Amino acid sequence: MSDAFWIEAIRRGDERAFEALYLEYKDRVYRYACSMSGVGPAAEDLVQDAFLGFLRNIDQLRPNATVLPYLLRSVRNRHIDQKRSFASRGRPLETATRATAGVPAPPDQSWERERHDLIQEAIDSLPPDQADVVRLRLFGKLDYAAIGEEVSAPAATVRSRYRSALDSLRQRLGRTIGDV
Amino acid sequence: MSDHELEKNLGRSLPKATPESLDRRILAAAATELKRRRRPRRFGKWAVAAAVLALIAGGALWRVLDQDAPGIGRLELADGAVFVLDADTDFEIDRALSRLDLKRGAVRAEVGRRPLEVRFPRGRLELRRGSATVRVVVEGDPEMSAITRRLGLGAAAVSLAAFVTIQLHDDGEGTVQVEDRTELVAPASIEIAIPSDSSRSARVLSEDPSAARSELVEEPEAAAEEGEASEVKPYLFGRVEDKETGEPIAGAEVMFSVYPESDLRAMLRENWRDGSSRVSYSLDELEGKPMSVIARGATSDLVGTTSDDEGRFLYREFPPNSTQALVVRHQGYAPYVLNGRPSSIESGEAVIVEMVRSATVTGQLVDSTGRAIRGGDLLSALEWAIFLSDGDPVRKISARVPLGSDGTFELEGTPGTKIVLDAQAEGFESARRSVFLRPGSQHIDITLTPSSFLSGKVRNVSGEPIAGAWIEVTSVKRRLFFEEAKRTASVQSDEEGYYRIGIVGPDIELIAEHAEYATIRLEDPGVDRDDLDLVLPPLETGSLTGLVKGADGAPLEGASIQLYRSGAVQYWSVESTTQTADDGTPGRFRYDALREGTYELTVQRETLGELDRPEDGTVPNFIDITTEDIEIRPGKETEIEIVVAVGGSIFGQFFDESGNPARASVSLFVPDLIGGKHKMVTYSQTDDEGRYNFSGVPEGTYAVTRGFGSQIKIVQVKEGESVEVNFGGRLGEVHCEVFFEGQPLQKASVSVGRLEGGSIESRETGTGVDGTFIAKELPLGPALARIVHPENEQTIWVEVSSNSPAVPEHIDWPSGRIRGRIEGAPLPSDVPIEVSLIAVAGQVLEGKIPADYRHIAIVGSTDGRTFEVHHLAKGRYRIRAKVGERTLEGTCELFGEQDVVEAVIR
Repeated sequence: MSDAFWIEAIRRGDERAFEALYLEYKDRVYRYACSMSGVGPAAEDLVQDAFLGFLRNIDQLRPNATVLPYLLRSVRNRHIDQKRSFASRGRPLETATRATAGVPAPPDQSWERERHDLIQEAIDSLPPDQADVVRLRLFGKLDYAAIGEEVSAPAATVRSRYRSALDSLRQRLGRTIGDV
Repeated sequence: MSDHELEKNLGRSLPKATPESLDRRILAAAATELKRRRRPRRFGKWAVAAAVLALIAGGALWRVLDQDAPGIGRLELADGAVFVLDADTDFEIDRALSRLDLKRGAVRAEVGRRPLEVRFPRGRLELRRGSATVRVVVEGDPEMSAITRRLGLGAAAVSLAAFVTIQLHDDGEGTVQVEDRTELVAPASIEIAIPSDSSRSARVLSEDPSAARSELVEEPEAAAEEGEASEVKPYLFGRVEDKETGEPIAGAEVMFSVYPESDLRAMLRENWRDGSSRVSYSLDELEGKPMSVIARGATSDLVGTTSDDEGRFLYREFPPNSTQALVVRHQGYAPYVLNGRPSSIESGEAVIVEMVRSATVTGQLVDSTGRAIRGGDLLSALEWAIFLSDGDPVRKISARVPLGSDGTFELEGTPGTKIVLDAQAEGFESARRSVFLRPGSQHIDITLTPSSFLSGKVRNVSGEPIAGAWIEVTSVKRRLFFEEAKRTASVQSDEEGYYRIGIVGPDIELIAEHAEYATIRLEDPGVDRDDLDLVLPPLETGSLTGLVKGADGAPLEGASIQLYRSGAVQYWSVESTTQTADDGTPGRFRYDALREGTYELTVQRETLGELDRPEDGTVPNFIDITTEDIEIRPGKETEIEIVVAVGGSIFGQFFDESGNPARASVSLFVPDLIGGKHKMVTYSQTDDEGRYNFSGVPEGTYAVTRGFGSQIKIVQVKEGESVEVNFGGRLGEVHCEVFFEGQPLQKASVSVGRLEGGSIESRETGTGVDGTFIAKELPLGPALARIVHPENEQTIWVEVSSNSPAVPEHIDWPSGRIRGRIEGAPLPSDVPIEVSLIAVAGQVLEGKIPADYRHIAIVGSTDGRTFEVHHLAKGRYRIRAKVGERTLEGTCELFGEQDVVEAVIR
C-alpha cells in the first residue's frame, strides 16, 4: 500500500515524510472533525490529537495500515469519548458564554456559521448509521468500500445508506441551502 | 436539487482547509516527537533531580539472571533495602515488548526497613538494558484504591512509583535509584517499563552472555498476563516543587482540563434550543476540588486536586485519551502549564512540576487626562513557558484579564515571558502594550485615546428606519509605492435603525447594505458626526444570462457555475449549472434579481473526485475559467458568453501483484525534476475497479503517482487528448548476459524500460564481471533494454518474466556492419567528417520506439569518402554526414544481426 512507505519513513523520524502525509490528509481530517464538532478549536483539537496520536502509536500500526481511515477513526472515537464522558457528568456549563461576551462575531462568519449549523443539525438528525456514512463520504472522502470497513457493512449497503441519507437531507435542506 | 448539487452544497458548508495556526502547531509538535524518535531515549530530568541512592543494582540483577540453578537472588540496595527474588523466579528476555515482568514466584522488597511483599503474577520477564522506570500496582486494585484509602493520599504508591528507578547501562552495569522517603504497606506488583528503543536494546543484548536467556520458550499464559496488565486505569502523579530551592510546595492546585470546549458549546446550544432558561453551572459541582477557570480554559473546565504537605499529588480518574492540559497554580508562583495529555500517564513516570516565582503586573486603563476608564476590556496574550524537559511545544494562550470597576487590573506571570496586552473601551481607540515580566512587581497604566466615529440612522426613502442594515467603513492608507493598507470595520443597525461605527483610519469609504434595499456608498463621509443618516433607495435588480461553449463552439451542458459579488459587505455567492434553456438552447445559465454591482463568475468542473462523476461516466473535460468584472445594472439584462479551453485527460487503472484491479490513491503533480519541489495539482481515489480519471488537465508534463509517490510515472498531456497510465500488475524481472565479440561485456550501464500508454517506467542497472544484469519489478511482457558502454550502445528487446530463469538470457552483441561511401559533395581534405547513425523504425522496433528511445550514435569519422560502422543490430538506419555547412543523408537496412550492407550518402 502506498502509505507503508510513509509510515516507515516516519518511524525512522523523518520530518518531511510526516509533513507530506500531514499535508495530504489534513484537510479531509479537519473537515471531518468540523462536521462532528463544529468549526472551531474543538475540531482543531480533534485533528491535533488524531495526527499526534497517529505519530505516537505508529509503532503499533499494522504494516499495511491505511492512514486516512485510521485518522478519521481516531477523530470519531475521540469525539464519541468526549460526548460520553460529558454526558455521564450530565451537567451543562455556563462558562462557554464568557469567551465571546463583548466581542461581536465578525459579520462574514455569522452567515457561514448559520449555514454550517443548519447542515450540521440536518446531518445530526439522520439515523446514526446514515450520519456516519455521510460524514465519512462527504468530508473524509472515503470510498464506499473503505467506509464499509469502518462501519462493518458491505459497500453496497453503504451506498444505499448514503443514497437514503442524501434523500433525507435534500428534503430537509433543499430550500434552505439551495437558494441563497 | 440533484445528488450532485446537494453534495456540493453540503461540502461547501465547511472550511476547505485547516487554519495555518493549526498546521504550525501540529507540525511543531510532530517535529519534537520525531526528533525524539531519531535519538535514543534519555531519562527525564526528574530522575536526576530526585534525591537518590545510586547503587550497582543492575549488575546484581544480571548476576541473578546468570545463575543457572534456581535460587534466591538478592538485589541489595544501600540503606538496607533489599529486593529478594524468589526461588522459583525465572526469566525470559523478549525483544519485541518493552515491559519487564517476572515469571513465576514472587519478589519481596524491603524498602526503608518496612517490609513489603511484592507479588508477581505469573507472566514473563522481558528484560532489556537501557533505562527503565518502576511502578507499583497494588494487587487486586489496579487503581491503587487500597493504598489511597489506607494512607488517605495514595502517597505510598506514588512515592515508590515515582521515586524508584532502575537504570541499566550499555556496559552491563546498572543502577537503582530509590528516594529515601519510599515506603510501601500493601501487596503490590512491580512493572518495569522500558522505553521501546528496540534496535538499540537488541544490539546490546546480543553482545551479552546473558542474552542466551532469550532462547527460553515463551509460556502460553504470557499473553493473558499482558492483557491484564494493560487494563490498569491511567493515573497521574508527581510532585510540585520550587524550581529554585527544590522545596516541596504544599496546597498547589493541580488541574487538568478534561472536557473540550466543543462539548460545552454543544450542551449550551441544546439547552437554549430546548427552550429551557439559562442553566447556571458552578465549577464547584465538578468532582475533585473546586477550580477556577483560566487561560484557554475560558470555555473548558478543569478538575483536579491539591498537592499534599510534601508537594505530592495523585489523580486517578482520567478518562482515557481526554486530557487537554495540565495546569498547576499556587499563590506567588507563575502558573505551570503542560499542554496535551502528559505522556507520564501512560508511562507511569512521575511528573515533577517545577514552579517559578511569579512576576506581578498591576495597572489601570486611563484616558489622556489620567482619569480611569470604566467598562473597558483587556486581553492578554502570552507564551507560556514549559518547564518539562520533554520538549512539548510552547503554545500561545490568550485570556481576558478581569478589570476592576475603576479599570484596574492585576496579572501574574512567569518572569522572562512577554505579555501582550490589548485594551479596548467603547469610544476609545484600542491600544496595545507589551510587557516583559520581571521578577517581583511592576506597574503600568494603559492610556487610551478617544476614537473617531460616525453615527446616525438608516432609513428608507419614506423615512422609516431600517433595522439590520450592514454598515461598513474601509480606510485605505497608501504607503510607499503601490502598497495599500486596508482596514475595515462593520456594524449592524439596531431596531430603530440607529448605528454607531468607529473610524478605522483616514480616507474612509462607507457602504450601507441591506438585503431588501439598494446599496449606497459614501466617499469621505467625514468623522465624528452623529447625524449621518443613511437613506437606502429601493432595491433595483438586473439579470445575468450566459452561454458556456467549448473550444469547438458546442454549448457545454452540466458545467458548474459559481457567481460571486465583488465588494459585498457580506460574503455572497450563488451556484448553478449550465443547462438547456426554456427556448431549447443548451449550455445556458441565468440569474434573475441580481442587485446592482460587479460580479465574478467561475465555470468549473467538479473537484470532488469520484463523487463528481455523473452516472453515465462522462466527465466534462475543460479547464476551469474565471471571468471578472461582470457589471449588473438595474433593470438591464447582462449577457455573457464564455468559451472554455479543452483540457487533456489522464486515466488508467491500478492492479495488484496478482494482476487484479486494486483500489489506490492517485495524485497528479507538476514535476520539478531539478528542484524536486513537485507541486500537487489534484488527488483522487480509484473506484472499486481501480480506475481513475483526471480531466480538464492543461497541456504540459505531469507526474502521476500512486499515493504520494511510491510509484511515479511521467506523462505528456496534450489538449483534448487522453493518456492512459496504469499502475501495478504482475511484476517480474529480466536476467540477461551480454557478450561482445565472444567475451562478457563488463561494466556496461543498462536501462530496462516498459512503455505503458504514454508513460515510461524504467529500471537502471548494469552488467557485472560475468556480463550479466538483472532488472527487477517490471511489468510482465516485452521491454526495451538499452545497453551502453564506452565503445557503443544498443537497444534491444528483452522479455520480463515472472520467474527469473536460472540461466540468463544470452545476448550476443550484434555484429551487423555498414560500409558506406559519401558521394557528390566536394570533401575538404584537412577536416574529418562527422558521420552519425540513427536507428529508425527497424523491423523489430517498428511502431514501438518512443522518441526517447531513439538510438543516436556517433559512429566514426572518415578521412576519405568511405567509412565503416560495426556492431550494429538489425534494423533500418539513417546515416548523416556533416560536411562543412552541408548535411548529407542516406538510409540503409540490416536484415540480420550479422549482415554487412553497403550504403551511399549524397
